[in-house]
Amino acid sequence: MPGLRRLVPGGTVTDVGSVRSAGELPVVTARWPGMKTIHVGCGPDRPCVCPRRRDIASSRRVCLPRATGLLVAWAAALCGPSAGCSEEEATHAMKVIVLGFDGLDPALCEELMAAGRLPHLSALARRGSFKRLGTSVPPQSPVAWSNLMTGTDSGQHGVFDFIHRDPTTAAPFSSAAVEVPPEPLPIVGSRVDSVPAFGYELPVRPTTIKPNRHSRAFWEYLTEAGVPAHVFRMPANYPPTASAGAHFCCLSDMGTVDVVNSQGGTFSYYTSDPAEQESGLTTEGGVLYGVTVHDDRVDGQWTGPVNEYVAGAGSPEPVRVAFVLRRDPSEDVVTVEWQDQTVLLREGEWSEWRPVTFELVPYVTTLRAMVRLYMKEVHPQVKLYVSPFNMDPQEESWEIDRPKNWSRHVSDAIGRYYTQGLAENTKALSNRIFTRDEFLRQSEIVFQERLRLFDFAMGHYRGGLLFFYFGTTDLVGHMFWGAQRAGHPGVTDEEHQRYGQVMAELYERVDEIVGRAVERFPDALLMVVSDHGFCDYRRSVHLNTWLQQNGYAVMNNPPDRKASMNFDFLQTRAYGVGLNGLYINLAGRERMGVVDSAYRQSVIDEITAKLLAFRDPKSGGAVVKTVYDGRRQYHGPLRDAGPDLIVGYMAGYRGSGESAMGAFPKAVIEDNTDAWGADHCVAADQVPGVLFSSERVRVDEPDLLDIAPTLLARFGVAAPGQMTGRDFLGGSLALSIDEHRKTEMASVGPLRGNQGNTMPDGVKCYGHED
Amino acid sequence: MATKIKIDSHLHDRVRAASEAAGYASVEEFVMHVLEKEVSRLAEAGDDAGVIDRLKGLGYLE
Repeated sequence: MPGLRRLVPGGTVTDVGSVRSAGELPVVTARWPGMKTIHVGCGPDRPCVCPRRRDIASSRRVCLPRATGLLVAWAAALCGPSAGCSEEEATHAMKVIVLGFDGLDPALCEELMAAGRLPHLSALARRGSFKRLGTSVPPQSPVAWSNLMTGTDSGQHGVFDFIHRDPTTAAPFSSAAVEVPPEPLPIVGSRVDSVPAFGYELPVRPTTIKPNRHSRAFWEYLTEAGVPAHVFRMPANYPPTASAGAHFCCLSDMGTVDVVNSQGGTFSYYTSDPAEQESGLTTEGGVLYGVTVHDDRVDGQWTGPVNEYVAGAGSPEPVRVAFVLRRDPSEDVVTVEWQDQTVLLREGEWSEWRPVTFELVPYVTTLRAMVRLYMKEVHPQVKLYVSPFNMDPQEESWEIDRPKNWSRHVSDAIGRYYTQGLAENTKALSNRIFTRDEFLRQSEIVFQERLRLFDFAMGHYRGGLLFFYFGTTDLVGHMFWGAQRAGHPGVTDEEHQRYGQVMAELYERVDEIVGRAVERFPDALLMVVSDHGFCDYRRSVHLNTWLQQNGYAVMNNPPDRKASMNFDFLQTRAYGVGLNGLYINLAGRERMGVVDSAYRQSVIDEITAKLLAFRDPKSGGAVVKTVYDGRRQYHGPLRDAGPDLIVGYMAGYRGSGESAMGAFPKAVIEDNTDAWGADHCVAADQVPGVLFSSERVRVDEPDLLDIAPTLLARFGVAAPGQMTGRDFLGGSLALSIDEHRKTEMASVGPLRGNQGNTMPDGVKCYGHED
Repeated sequence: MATKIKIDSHLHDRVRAASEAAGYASVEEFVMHVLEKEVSRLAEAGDDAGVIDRLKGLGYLE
């Protein structure tokens, strides 16, 4: 049938089904190189239906609408992104592949390579290089990946921590993205921001979301120079920025919120267990709903986003969707029904992704999300876990991709997938909703989705730059790194015995992925990188309490140790916000600043000395290894927007979550008994990342800042002036950030800090020997 | 109950010029409006529990 081949560009038509009636489209079976057979088209008796109307029955089925006029649009969707989607535009003679594994630790890699457990990484190291990769200050993923993407540090790109603070209000906020409220519309001498209609306030202009990153990413320079770039699940890139020029496709990852706009996602847990109802959740990240079972039936509601469109609502309520759970009286089986969905689940079973529609304004504004259910228990109690409501990749209105239909194109091929960042639900484990095994099962779902995406990326790649990211190594690392050795306060001996090999086995799977890339593209320049390494998190430091005890911070009256930012600012000289940040309450800069700028440096010097002298009462060991001065650490116009001091803790220690949000827990330092038992927000030299390269790295101490200039140099693209790193493959003579820092420090004296990384009770942080 | 606040003459001159340029009927009206706006803004920001709640899903915040 003429024209069919245009519908499957790059593929081979292997079969054409018969047309059943006039106006019907045939079912076409086609194959693309590296991909499984898929069916294109639908007929009256075909089970696959348009994924925009119902669940995708198979991840390999893509449907064409029956209206002929839409053929062109669907052909374009099949072809790929609307910008530069042709095979020719997506092809480049040079192939450069960067695989990013969050938190992949060099010391553990070395140990496992020595044991012969990582053959592909070992081969890569022998062929080219394996080095530690200098990380960011602080070694937090949004900072580190921003360094990697832009080739600049926080003073240029403006990302200093997971959590920033607004100096004019002292309120903490996520560094991931900013909401830009719309400008009111000038109408007849007034400024109108919304139009009332039927009990709702309809905004005349939408709120826009912008990434918080202020520097351009390396792929923007590449595509402008005509180099295709495929960037799969780049962290700290939400919403993804457009890139002009050559073929460009991108999916966001870490920093991407769920539908209720929360970082890390907000799960729901419905339980009829009175003991669970009474105990509640111990940490945030989810909501526990007590339910009652009547005649094996539970009536409940999903809780969606807050509906700010309701007119006159002082405190807007969330949109809710009713569901009914029916339990078999004797078997461990339930059905869960909502809207037009019915899910059948056995105890211990996970559902596939199922759509949920939140109607904000009837017929006008609807949010299409998706959810996965896990039936934890059916008898005697009903216990249902509901995943965070993720943005449905089938919906183009979400800001998770570039070009705009790319996520739909991808999910047409591989099925729906977690679109939120930090998808592995660590909070469910910390709250003991999940057991460790249940967390590993949920993480495996995330990992399998990522592997399907990886296969898709490999199959789609025709040269140019390919970046692909895995986050599982970080989030599983946070929960299981501490189980590798005995003695962690958050890990029992039994857990150490049972889960001690989880990290090693995960690294073996990382190695297999690397092997697949090498096998598929043996001649490509291949780099395997991570943003930081890992160490135990055994002792939690409440920095604001330390500041209070040392006379730098005062709590408001009445004292509330759990409240966020409960400072008496008129008596506070310094306060902590974020996992490593410490701010001087500077007059003229801060909301109620009291420290005159003439005294700023003396306060900084005093706090620095005291932090370095701070000893853990349990062990007598140093708590802080390095204190970084923000004005010396960062370079660029945004330097002064960040913390005045960045606290570099000793390995084994970390700033507490409570203090990161500006609270004052009672103790200054205490054991970390949370399941989140390992971390990397410490002094940077203790947690370098990895750099494996198929070509020899020509510098001794490569850094995250070097990745972008190296990639640009490989494609013959000049690096912009603000990139301070080096081309570590070509041996560029550009002055590195290390040289800048050495020059600066020579004039002000050596960086003060503590030596060694001895943990409490003399136990050394795993893998980090002095 | 009305309260008097003292400001230096240099600031007063700048405030008067700004209130005239912005079309306010008097310096007092301008000052009242500016103070009301600033107090409202600070009160909203300080009570932004929603922003804080949305951060608490981060696993890093135990």
